[in-house]
Amino acid sequence: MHSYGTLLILLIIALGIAGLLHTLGTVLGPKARNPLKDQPFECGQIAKRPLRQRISVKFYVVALLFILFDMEVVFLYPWAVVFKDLGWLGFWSMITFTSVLVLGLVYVWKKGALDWE
Amino acid sequence: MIAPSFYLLLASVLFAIGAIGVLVRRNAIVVFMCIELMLNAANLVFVTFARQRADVSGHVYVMLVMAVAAAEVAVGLAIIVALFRERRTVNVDELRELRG
Amino acid sequence: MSVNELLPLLPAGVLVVFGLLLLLYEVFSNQSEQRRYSAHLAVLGFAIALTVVAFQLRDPTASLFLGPGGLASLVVDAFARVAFILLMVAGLVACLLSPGYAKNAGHSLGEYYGLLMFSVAGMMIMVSAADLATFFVGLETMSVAVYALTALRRRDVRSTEAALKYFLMGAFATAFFLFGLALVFGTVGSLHLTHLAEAMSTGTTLLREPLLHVGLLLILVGFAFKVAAFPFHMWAPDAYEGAPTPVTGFMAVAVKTAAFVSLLRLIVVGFDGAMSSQTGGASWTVLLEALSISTILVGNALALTQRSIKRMLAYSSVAHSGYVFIGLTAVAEGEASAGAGILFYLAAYTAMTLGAFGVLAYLERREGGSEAERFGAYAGIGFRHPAASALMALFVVSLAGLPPTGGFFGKLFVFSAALRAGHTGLVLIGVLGSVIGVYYYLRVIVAFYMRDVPEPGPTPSATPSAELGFGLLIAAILVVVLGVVPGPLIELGRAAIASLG
Repeated sequence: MHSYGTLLILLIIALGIAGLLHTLGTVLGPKARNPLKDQPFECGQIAKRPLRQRISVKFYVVALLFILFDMEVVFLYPWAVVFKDLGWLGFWSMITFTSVLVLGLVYVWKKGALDWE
Repeated sequence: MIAPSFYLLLASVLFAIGAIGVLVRRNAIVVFMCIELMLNAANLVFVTFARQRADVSGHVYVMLVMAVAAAEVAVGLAIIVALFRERRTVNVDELRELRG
Repeated sequence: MSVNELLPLLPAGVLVVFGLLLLLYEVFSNQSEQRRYSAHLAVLGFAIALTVVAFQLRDPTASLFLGPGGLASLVVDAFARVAFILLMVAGLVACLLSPGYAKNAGHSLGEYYGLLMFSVAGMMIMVSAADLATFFVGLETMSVAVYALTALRRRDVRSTEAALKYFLMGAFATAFFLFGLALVFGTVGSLHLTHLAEAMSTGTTLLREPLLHVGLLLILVGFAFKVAAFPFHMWAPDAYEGAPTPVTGFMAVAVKTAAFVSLLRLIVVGFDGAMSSQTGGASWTVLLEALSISTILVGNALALTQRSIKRMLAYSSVAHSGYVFIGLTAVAEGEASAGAGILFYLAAYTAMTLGAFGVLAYLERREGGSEAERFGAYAGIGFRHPAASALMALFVVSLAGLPPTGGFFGKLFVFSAALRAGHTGLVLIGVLGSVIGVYYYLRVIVAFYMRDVPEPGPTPSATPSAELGFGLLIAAILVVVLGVVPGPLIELGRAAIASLG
C-alpha cells in the first residue's frame, strides 16, 4: 500500500503548488474590475465565425511527422536506463538509429513538409 | 491483485469490439481506429503475461508494437487524407472505382 | 559483438543505405532531369547487395543479436540467403520495369525506389528472423513501405483507393497476427522459434493448451492475409488493379515470397517439421489442406470470370498461393523435399509474374497510358508489338504451368513432393486448378494474336525504355533457364532446406 502513499504525497504537493500560485495571483495581482470583465469568458456571445471549422491539412502533415519522431523516444528511454551495461555496441546502435531519423528529418525538411505556407 | 484472466477477458473483448468495428463501420478513419483498438488489445495481453511471468520481454514487445503502430498510423492517415482530397469522402462503401 | 559479425546482414544494410541515399538524392537534386538516374542508383544498390550474397552463399550459418538464453534473433543461414537472392532479384527487376511507367504516371522517383529498397530490406529481416518479434518488425517494415508504394500516384483515385483497401486489410491482418503473437508469448513464455518447437514437440502438456492453438491460428490468419489465401483474398484484386503496374508485380511476387518463405521457416523450425498426428498436429495439416484446396478453387474460378487482364492475373496469383500451400501441407508432415519445391516454385513465380506485369506496364504506356486492361483492348497487339507479345506469351505459358518453362517444373516439384507425402487428393485438385488455369491464361494469347484488330491502333509514341527491356529480358531468361535446367536451383533449394536443421 505504501507505494500509493507516495502517490498521495505527490498529489498533495501538486495541489498545494497549484493552490498557492492561484491564491498568490488573486492576492497580489492588480485589480481593475468592470462589469464586462466579470462576465464568464465568451459565454453567450454571438459567434463571429463558424465554430466547426475545417482544419487545414497542413496540421495533419505536421501532426503525422510529430507522431513519427515522437514515438522513437520510446526506444531512447530504455536505452538511456541501461546505457552503461550496453557498452559501445549499444552506443553505436543508437547512433545509427538516430542518424537514420536525422536523415529522415533532412528529407522531410528539404521536401518542404515543414513549410507552413 | 486482479487475476490475469480478467485482463485477458478485457483484452479479448476489446479485440472483438475492434474486429466487429472493422467489419461494420463505414468511415475509413473509424475502421482504422478499430484496428488500433485491436492492436492495443494485443498489447494488453503482452503486458498481462509479462506481469504474470515476471518477464520484461513482454514490455519490450509492447514498445516495439507502439513504435511500429505509429509508423503505420502515419502512412495510413496519409493515404486517407490523399483519398479524401481526390474523392471528398472517406466512406469505404463509396469506394468502387475498382470492380471486376 | 564486433562489426564483422554483422557482415551476414550486409546485403540488407546496403539496401537501406541506398534507400536513404535515394531519398536524399531526390530532395537535393534540383533538375528533374537528374532524377532519372534514381533507377540506376537503385539497380546499382541491388546489384551490389546481390554480389555480396553471392559471395556469402557458402558461408556457415550466422546467428546474430543473441538474446536471453543465447538464442539468436536473426539467423542468416543458406535458407535465408537463397531467399535474399529471390527477393532482391524481384526488387531489381521491379526497379528495371519502373522508369518509363513512373515517368508517365508523374510521381516522384526517389521515394519510389527508396521505398522499394526499404521493403526488400524488411523482407530480408522476415526471412531470417528466428524470433517472431523480430519477424514482426520485418513484416511491418515491408508492409508500411508497400502501402506507401501503392499510394504513390496521389492524384490517381484508383491508386489511392487500392492503397486504402490494401492498407486497411493489411493492418487488420497485422492486428490478428499480433494478438496471436501475444497469446503464444503467454503460453510458451517466449516468441523464439526454438522455444515454440520445444512446446510443440511430442508429449508436452503445453500442446493441450487451447490458447496456444488459438494464438497459432491467429498467426496463420495473418499469413493467409499477406499471401491472399481464401478467405482472406478479397483485398488482392482491388489492390492489384489499382496499384501502379510495376508495383503490382512487386507486391504479387516479393510480398508473397517473403511471407511464404518465412511461413516455411515457421513450420519447419517452429513446428518442428513433423506435425505428426499424435501431437494434435493432424488438425494443423487439415487446416493447411483446407486453405490450399479452397484457395486453388476460388482463385481459379474467379480468374475465369474476369474481363480485365490485370484482375485475371490478380486472381490467378491467389490460385498460385494455393499451389504453394499444397507444398506447405507436405512440409508440415515432414516431407522436406517439398520445401525445396516451394523455393523453386517461388523463384519461377517471381520471374513469370513480374514479367507478365512488366509487359502490361509496357503496353499501357505504349498505348497512350490509358489503363484499359480489358482483354478486348489488346486485340491484335501481337502484331503491333511483336517482341513484347512474344514475351507475354512465354510468361503466360509458364504461369499456366506448361513445359518447357519454370512454371512447369515448379508445379512438378511441389506436386510430386505432395504425392510422396500421400496427398493424392490435394494434388488432383492442384492439377484440376492448373487445367482451368491453362484456359484463362491462353485467353491472353488469343486476345493478343487471334482477334481482329478493331481499327489501326494509335502509333506508338514513346520509345521503349532500355531499362524495361532489360528487366523483361532478365525475367524471360529466368523463366527459360528454370524450365530447361532446373537441376542446379532445386539443388540449391535442397541445401537451403537442409540448413534449417
